[in-house]
Amino acid sequence: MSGSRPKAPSSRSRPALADLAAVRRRRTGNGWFLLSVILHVAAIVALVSLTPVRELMEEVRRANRPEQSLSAAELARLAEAIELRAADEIRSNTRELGRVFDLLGQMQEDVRSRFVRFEQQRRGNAARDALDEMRKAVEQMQEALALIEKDAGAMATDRSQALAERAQERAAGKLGLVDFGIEPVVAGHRAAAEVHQEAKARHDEHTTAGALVTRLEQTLATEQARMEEQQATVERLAEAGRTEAQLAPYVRQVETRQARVEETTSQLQEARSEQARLRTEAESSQRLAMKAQEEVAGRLQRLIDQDAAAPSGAAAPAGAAAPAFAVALRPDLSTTGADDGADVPELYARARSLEDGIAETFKEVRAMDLAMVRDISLDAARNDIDLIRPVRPELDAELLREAARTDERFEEHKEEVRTALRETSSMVNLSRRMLEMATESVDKMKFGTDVQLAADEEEEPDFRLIIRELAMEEVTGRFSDLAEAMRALEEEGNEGEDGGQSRRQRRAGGADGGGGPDGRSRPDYKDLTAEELAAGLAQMPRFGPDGAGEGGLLPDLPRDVPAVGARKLSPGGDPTPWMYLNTWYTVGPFPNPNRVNIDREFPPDSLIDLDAAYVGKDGRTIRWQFVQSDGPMVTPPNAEPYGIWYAYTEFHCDRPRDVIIALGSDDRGTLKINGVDVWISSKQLKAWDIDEVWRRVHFNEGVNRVLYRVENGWQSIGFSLILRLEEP
Amino acid sequence: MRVRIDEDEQVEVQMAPLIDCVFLLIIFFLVATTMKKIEKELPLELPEAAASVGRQVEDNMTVISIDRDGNLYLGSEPVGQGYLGRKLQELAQANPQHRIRIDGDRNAPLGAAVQVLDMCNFERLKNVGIKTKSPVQP
Repeated sequence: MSGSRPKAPSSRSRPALADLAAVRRRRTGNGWFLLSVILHVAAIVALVSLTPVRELMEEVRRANRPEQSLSAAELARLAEAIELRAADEIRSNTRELGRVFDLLGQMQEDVRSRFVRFEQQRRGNAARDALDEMRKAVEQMQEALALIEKDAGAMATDRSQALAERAQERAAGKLGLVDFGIEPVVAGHRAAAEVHQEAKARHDEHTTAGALVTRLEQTLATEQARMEEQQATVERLAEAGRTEAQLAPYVRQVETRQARVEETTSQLQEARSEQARLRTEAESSQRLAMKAQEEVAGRLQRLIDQDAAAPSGAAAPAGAAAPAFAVALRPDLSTTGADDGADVPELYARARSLEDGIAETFKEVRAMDLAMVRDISLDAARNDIDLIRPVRPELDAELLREAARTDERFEEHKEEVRTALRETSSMVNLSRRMLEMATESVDKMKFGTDVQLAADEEEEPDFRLIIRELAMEEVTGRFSDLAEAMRALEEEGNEGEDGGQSRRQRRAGGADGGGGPDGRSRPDYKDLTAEELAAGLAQMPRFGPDGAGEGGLLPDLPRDVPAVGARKLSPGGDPTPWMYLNTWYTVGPFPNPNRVNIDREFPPDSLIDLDAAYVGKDGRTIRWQFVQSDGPMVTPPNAEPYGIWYAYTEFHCDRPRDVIIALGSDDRGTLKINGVDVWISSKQLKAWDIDEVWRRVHFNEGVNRVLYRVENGWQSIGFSLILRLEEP
Repeated sequence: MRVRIDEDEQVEVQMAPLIDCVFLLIIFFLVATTMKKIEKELPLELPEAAASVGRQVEDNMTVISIDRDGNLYLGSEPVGQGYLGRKLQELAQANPQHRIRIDGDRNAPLGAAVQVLDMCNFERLKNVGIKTKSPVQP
């Protein structure tokens, strides 16, 4: 170092002055040297302490340090420090829950005021709407009667009967909204519905008898053909010169066959007469049902006329009186309370109450949505929705408030704090998703009384209602094409983001709704199905009565169809005509005693949370379970009789596609794709079949959410979803 | 040659080269040392595999652990299947080549390992390995 370098003696130096100068120089040099060392050490310390080198050194030191035991007081202090640190995070989570609660509350208030106007108008029109539905029911019954008289077959008649039943159900729902005294009409309508059910039962018997007749006719034809063959054999042998003894066995065979033909002929005659009798009964029952429904409709018409003629009508005009329904107000939870001094148990309790409040508010928003989609009263909608309230563990507040003075208590304390932190984080995630779902529901709501709608803007149809009708098996039969409506719904959702720009463009461009003007990629339809087959499938409901179609266009899929199990569709995959979704998450059983919950929406209907635990049948805690199947039919791992299961999966599509799918479930099944009903099976308990129904659906590019809901009555349970990827 | 030194000349420390040296040393430390935060590991009993290949631990690798009861962990933190799925989705969106290592207890249910592999596959995360230990040589 230069500071300590010995100085060369100067030739001109004087001794005294030289020594003085040397001392001065040395002192000055050492000072500078020390100062520089201090500065450099400070710089190094600062740099090391401010960089990750410090962490590394700590890790090394920790690894080499022998284990030390803490004293009870130190343990208690450490536990307290951990709790304090966790409390800060839990407090932050609680505040976030409060924020979500406030936002949801604002949303509910906004929707509530609009829903009240909508509901008042709906109630004002309910009587006339009910009358319209009754008339539709009569029309469908008339059509069914004509089909029975023509012996047109089961499928077409059943469809008319189902449409009549649906109209009756809608009428009943509308009658429930009427505010003035129509109790006799309600009772009459209920009786008419029962008579119609009786007529349906008679028709079912007639159909069964018809199936028996058909089977006997086929048997008779077969027996006659065989008898003729055997007779021909006998004649041929006789001509060949066989003796009577040689011919005797053949003659006996012919006689036996003839006896069978006679017996079958006799059975056929009996079956035909029985069929004729049952048809007469079915016709008369159907006429009775029509008559009963017409009478109720007439009675309602008179009441409406009287009400209209009255100077101050009994019916409450829209908006003139207080509505006879109550929209729940949001729970009173103060979100601004000071929680700075609260400990972990208090914060956890507060978070749980906020989560409950969020769930209540979310349920109310969902109930308003459901009331509109299903066209039912708000009370009925509330009863059909289950509160999303995941099972949360209780914290041991006593443990947390006590000083942890032993290792065991310290570990328990730490675990309890960790549980509180994990659960509140989960609450935040769930509440954010509820907020998202509620926002989505509100965006999709269509209030018919929206006065802000511009006069020149034609209101678009509610595609959700259209799709729901198309999804109903009883209404549309075994095949239904939902792809177009699903695309329209998707575009409608996208329009929310561009302020209706693309809707205006689509209107300007006519019916072409493929998404061209806004630059979105167009769905590729041609690679999904040949035009002929697609057209044929689309016509299926109008074809033959037996469901197979006159042209045989609806494929008869064998149960062991060679299909590839996967859940992704991409150009580089294995080429295969059939693919089934093989990976699912299932949860259940939810309770369904006496099938009372077949229309009830359990939490998975509203929101999918694969980490959630719910209270299921018999109070059991149920969770989502991972399931893979090596065949199209999937069975939940904890299957048992009587309950409702949900199965969820995600299907990845490389581009927007319209795909034909085959569905089947044991027992009643419903399927939603991206939150849209695709299949709502009949309410009958039934066995699984791989191609129970066919649907043409639209898949978005990327991840598509698929949710199955399956009700199990007794015995087995299962469901399947098969996609047809190319022409067979 | 005779060097003349002025008596009044101030002798000073040459700061610039010293600072240069110190900075060089620090940069050396920063570059040469591994800055990776040492992950806590679960006490798992790993399966043995004779064909296992030693591999350098990557800094940004994600470790998914499965204990003997089939519970899932991200690093050392217990996670649910929904959370893990979302996390893998985020990782795949950021980098499809992101390395995933599965540490499974030898008694863990195979279904849990299949589930994790299926989740990775669905998110197109192909850089997935399973941690094993080499068999003890006799």
